Amino acid sequence: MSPDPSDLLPMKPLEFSILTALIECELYGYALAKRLAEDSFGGLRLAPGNLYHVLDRMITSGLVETVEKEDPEDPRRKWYGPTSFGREVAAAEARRLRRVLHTAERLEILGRGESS
Amino acid sequence: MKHAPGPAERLFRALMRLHTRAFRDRYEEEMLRFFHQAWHEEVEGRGLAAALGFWTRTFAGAIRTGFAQRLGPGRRSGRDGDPAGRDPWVTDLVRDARYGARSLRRRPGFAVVTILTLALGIGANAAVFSVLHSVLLAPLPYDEPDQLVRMYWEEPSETGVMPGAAFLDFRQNLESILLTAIYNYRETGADLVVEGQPTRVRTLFVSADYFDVLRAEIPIGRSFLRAEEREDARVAIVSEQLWRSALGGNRQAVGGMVSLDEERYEVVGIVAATFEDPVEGDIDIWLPENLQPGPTNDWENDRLTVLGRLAPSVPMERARSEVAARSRAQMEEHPRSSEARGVLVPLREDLLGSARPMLMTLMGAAMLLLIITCVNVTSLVLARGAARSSEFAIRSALGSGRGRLVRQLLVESLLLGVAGGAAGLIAGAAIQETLVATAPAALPSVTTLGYGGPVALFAGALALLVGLALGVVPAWQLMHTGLASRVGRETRGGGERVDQQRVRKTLVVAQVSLALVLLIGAGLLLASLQQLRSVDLGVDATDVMTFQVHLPTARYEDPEGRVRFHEMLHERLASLPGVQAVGAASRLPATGSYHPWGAQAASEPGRRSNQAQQRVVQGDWFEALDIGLLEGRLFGPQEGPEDPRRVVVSASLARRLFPDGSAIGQRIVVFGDPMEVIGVVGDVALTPRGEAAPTVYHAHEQFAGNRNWPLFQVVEVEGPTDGLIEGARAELGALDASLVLVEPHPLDAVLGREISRDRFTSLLVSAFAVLAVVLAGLGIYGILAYDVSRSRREIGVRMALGAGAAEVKRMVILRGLRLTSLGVLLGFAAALGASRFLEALLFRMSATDPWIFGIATGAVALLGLVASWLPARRATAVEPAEAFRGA
Repeated sequence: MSPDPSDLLPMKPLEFSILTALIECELYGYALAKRLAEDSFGGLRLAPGNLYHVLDRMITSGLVETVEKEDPEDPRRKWYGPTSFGREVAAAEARRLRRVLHTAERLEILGRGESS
Repeated sequence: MKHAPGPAERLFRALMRLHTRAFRDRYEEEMLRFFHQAWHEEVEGRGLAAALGFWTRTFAGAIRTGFAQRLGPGRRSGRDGDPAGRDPWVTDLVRDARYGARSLRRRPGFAVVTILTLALGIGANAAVFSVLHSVLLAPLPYDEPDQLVRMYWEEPSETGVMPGAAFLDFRQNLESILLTAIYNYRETGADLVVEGQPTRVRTLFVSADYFDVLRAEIPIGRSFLRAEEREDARVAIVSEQLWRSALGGNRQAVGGMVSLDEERYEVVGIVAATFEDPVEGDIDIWLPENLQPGPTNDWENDRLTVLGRLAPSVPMERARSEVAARSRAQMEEHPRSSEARGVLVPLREDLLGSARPMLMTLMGAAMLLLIITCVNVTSLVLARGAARSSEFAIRSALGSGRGRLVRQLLVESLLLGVAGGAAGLIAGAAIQETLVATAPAALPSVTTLGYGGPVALFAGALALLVGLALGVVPAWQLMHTGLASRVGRETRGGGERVDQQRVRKTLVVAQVSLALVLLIGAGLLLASLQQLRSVDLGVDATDVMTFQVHLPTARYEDPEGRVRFHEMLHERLASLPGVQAVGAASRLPATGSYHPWGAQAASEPGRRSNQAQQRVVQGDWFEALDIGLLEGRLFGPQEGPEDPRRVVVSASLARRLFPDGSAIGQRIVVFGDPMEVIGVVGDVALTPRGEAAPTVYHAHEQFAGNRNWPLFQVVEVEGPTDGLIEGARAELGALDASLVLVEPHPLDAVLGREISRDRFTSLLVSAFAVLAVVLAGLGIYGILAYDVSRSRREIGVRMALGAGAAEVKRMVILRGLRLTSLGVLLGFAAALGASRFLEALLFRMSATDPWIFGIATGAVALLGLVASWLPARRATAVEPAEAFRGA
C-alpha cells in the first residue's frame, strides 16, 4: 500500500522549505543551501552536515531523490529533486499551513490590513 | 572550482569524522564540494567575522548531526550492514553514562558535595587562567605584535629615555627597525574648545611614524609627515571616540580646524576606535613632536620614549646587533661625557613582563588548590566505592568483565568531572569579576580581560583530566580485588578493606601537606605586604587629603594669573577648620617617575644625574608632607618670576653632584638653565618600594611660565579628613565656579594603590590557602569519623574492659595527629623547596622565614587537633552493649 501523505504531516519547517525549493527547480547541495538562505525560503543558513543529514532523511522517507542532470561545471555533482510523493506531501503541508494562516487572519493576528 | 586552503580542508575533514561511516560513504564528496564552494563565496576576502561565523555554523552542524546519527535510532535499516548505523563504542558509552547518571541521582548528597568541591577548584583555576591568558598569552592588540620593540637608552648608571639626537640618528641609520618616538613627559592635557565649551582632553606628542609602527587604522585622513615634526606644526590626529563625541562624527572635520589651548590646529586624520595607545592609554588627540635638530634634541637632553617595529623577517638578534653597532658609531662621531647605547626589549615583555611573577604565583596556588580538591573528592569517591563493592561483585558474577566495570567507574568519574567543570566555569566567571573589581590597578592597562574560548577549553581540559584522575584510584583497586569473594558477605561499616583505608589515609596526608605549602606561601606574601606597607617613603601621609585642580589654559593663559590663583586657593584652604598646611606639586610621592630631565653640577658637568626628577611645588608642600629640611632654606617670597632661578634639591642629588661639600649656594644646570641651590631636603621615595630618586624642586612662581602645570594639592588636617572636601569644593567654587575638584582621596589611600598588585596576590593566595586548610580539615575529620564508625565494636570492648572516655578520646585524637604530623612533615619539606619560587614577589623577606614556617605549621597542627575532636567525642558516646549487639 502506498504511504499516505498526511502520515508525514506536520512537516518539519526545514524539510518543507527544502521540498519547496526543489519543486521550484532541481538543485545541487550548495545551491540548495543558498536558496534556503533567502528570506522567501525561510532565511536559514545551513552547514553542510545539517543539510545532507536532512536530505538523507528525506531520501529515506521517499520525499527527495537524486536526479540525473547535465552539469558542465562539475559532472560529478549530485543534483536533487522531489519525488512525486514528495510533491504530494508538500501540497498537503501547504494546504495545512493555509488553513492555519486563514485562522490567523480571521483572528487579525497580523493586524488590520496586513494579509498574505 | 576554487579550493579552500589546505589547513581549512583538513579541519573540515576531521569534523566529518563525527558522522557515521555509512553517512560519510554516501555524502563525503558532496560535503567537501559544498565546503569549498561555501569557503570561496562566503569566507575568502570577507574578514575575520565571516570566517568565525562560517566555522561556528560548520562545527555546530557537524557536532549536532554527528551525534544525532550516532545516538539516535537507525535511519536506514538493513542497507549498510549495521542495523542502527551507529558505532558500538558510542552505544556502550551512552549506556554507561546513563547508568552513571542514575547512580549519582540515587546519592544526591554525594553528587552535590563532589560537584561543588570540584567547581571550587576548577572555578578558581579558570578565573586565574583567564587573567593569565589575557595578560601573558593573548597577543598585544596590534598587527604582528611580536615585531614591536621598545628601545631604551642605557648609560652606566641609568637606563631610560633617549635624547632626541640619538633617536634621529637611529631612525636615519637603522635598517632593521622602523622607529617612532613619544614625548610623554609634557603636560598631557589640553583644552579643546568646541562651540565655546572647553573640554579637557588627553594629548600625546609623537613622531611621524607612530601610527605606521603600530599599524593603527586611520580610516579618514592621514598620519603625520616628517616635515610636520616641528614646534610650530599645527596639525592634529583625533581619536574616533572624540571625533564622534565632540566633532559630530562629521567627515568634514578632517581638514577642518579645532581650537586646542587657544591655538588653531588642522585635523588631518581620525584614528579608529580599535586602537589602544600602548604607553599612555586613552589618548584623545595626537600632536606631532618637535624633532628638529637643536638644543631640544641634542645629545644631552634625555626625553624620548622610543618604540619600534622590526622589519619583515628580521630576527631580534640581528636588530640588536645593528643597534649595538650604531651605538658604538655614535660614541665615536659624537663623543659625550658618558657612554650610552640603545637597548631593545620586546614590547610585550616591556609592558606586561612585570606581571608575570604575580600571575605565575597565582596559577601555582590555584593548581595546588585544585589538587587538594581532587584529593578530597577522590577520598569521597573511594569511600563510596567501598559501599558499592557488593554491587560490583554481583555484576561481575552476572557476567560483566572487569574491564567493563572499570570503564563504568571511569565514565562516572568523568561525569562528575564534567559537571564540576561546567559548574566551575560559571563559578570562575564570578570569581574573575570579583578579582578584577577588587584590584583593577593590579593588571597592566593594555590588557582586555576575556572569559571566552581559551578559558572554556582550559576548564574543559581540566574537567576531563580531573574526571579521569578521580576514576584512576578506584579503578585500580577494582582491577586488583577479588570480586567474587564479596558476593553475599556482610560487610562492616561499608566494607572498606585495609588497603582501601591506607589509600584514603595517604590522600588525607597529601591534603594536609599541600594545605601547609599553600598556607606558608600565603603567610610569606602577607608578611611581605606588611613590610611594603611599612616602608618609609620619606613623607608622612597621615591625615593628608589630596586632589587635583586643572586650570583651563583658555582662561588661565597668563602664568602670573595661575600663580595668583594657586596662592588664593591655598589661602582659602588654609582657612578651613583643622587645616595645618596646604601645598601642591606636579606629582605625588611614590607614584613613579615624572619629568626625569636630569641635572648636572654647573662647575663640573661630569657630575650629573641624567634621570633626576623635576618637581614643581607651591605653598607648604614640604611642611604638609613632613619632608625634612636638612640644609639651607625652603622657597619664599624672594623666589619671584623675575628673580634668579633657585631650586631645592633632594639629599641624594646633593651627594651625587656635590660629594665634597655642601650643595647650598652651588649652581646646577637643568634643561640648559643654570639655577642656584638654596636648600636640601630629605629623600622622597619614587616607588612604593622606597627607592629614592635624585630630585630637583622648582618654585611654581618661577616655573609657571614654562607651561600650565596641573598640580596635585595636598592639605594636612588635624584629626579626621571628613568634611574637608566639601569645604575645599566650596572654596574652589568661590574662586571659579566652573572649576572641578578632581579625584579627592586620602593620600595614604593613593599611595596604597601603588602596591595593589602585591595586595592582590597576597589576598588571593590567602583565600586559596584558607580553602585548602578547610578542605584538609574536612579530610581529616572524614577519615576519623569513618574510623570511629568502623571501630564501634573495638571501642565498645575497650570501654567494657574499663577504658575511660578520656582514654578513648586520646586514642582517636592520636590517630588524627599521626596523620596530621605526617602531612606536616611532608608539607614542611615541600614548602622549603617551593618557597624559593616566591622570592621575586617578596619584599625584604626571606623565602624560608622561620617565623612564617613555624606559625603555619602550628596552625595546621591545631587544625588536625580540632578536626579530630568531634570524632573523638562521638567515640566516647558509644554504648558498649550496643556495640556488641551490632556485631
